[in-house]
Amino acid sequence: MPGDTTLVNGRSLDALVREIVADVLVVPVEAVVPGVALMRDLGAESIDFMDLVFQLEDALAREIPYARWQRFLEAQLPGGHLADRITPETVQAFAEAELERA
Amino acid sequence: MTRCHRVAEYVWLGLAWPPGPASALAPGDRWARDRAAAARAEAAAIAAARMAGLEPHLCAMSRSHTLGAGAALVGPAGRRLGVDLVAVARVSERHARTLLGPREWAALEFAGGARPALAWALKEAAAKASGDPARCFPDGLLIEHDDAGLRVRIAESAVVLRGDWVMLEHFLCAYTLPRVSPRTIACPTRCATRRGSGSRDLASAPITSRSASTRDTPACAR
Repeated sequence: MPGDTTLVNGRSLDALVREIVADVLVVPVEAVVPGVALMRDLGAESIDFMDLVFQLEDALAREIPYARWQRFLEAQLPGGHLADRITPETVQAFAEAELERA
Repeated sequence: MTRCHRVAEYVWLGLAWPPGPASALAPGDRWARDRAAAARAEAAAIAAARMAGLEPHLCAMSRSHTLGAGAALVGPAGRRLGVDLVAVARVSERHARTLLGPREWAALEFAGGARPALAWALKEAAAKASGDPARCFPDGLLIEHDDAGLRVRIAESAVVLRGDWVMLEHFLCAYTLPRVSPRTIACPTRCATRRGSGSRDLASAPITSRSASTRDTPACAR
């Protein structure tokens, strides 16, 4: 996202997350813009989020239990109604949290 | 296309699916299409519930949708109901390994090639029924199977749900219900006069039920 400088294997985490989201949801990377709702706007389904976690596992070269994504959502987006609320920024924040675990 | 199937006493499963392969849509339109399918499924299940004397405002409900298809489970308010619909080919063994412990994987052996999809849909359905899906999915839900059928244990609450599933073309629909003996279920409103038989005309869906446990006679009709 704007101002992000986190690098993963020489690539910005922002670009990496956008590519992963685009790949999982089978949408052009240009559609993965800040603030876009992954479910309502890009058609993401619950199983797509498990694929996002798999791709983050592979890209970040670490094991990421899926339950951690669930707990992250619960903490960051309490109250449910996630259709409008999960954005690329949410995925990036999760990826950053995972990197900080190291 | 829409069908409704009575899956337990005073519980109906509505299903809606496209007549052919889902057409390519803009990403933003998929959401609306899929929600519309779930709404059609819900309408079918609500209609069956009404015919059995169960008023919609006294209903509990769970919905799911994917790839132009929708499912809705409707029953009396207060029951823990959960439903999930998934394309069988969408769920891989990697998904299943993430979802299941070794005993759960073994318990679903009977499902053959549908095992990963069943694992996913059953846990999703149970998570919805738990009322707190983010908290318990997937590790807080334990799938068991024996001669009595499928069960999902919600670890935190010690609640045990009955599970079942149907195939609908290339979709798998799993649902969970409370484990309540039909004889202990109180008649919902108006069933004494409507006798709960109105769903039978709607219950002839061309779906493959995986259980023989859906043939309960309404308690109020006995």
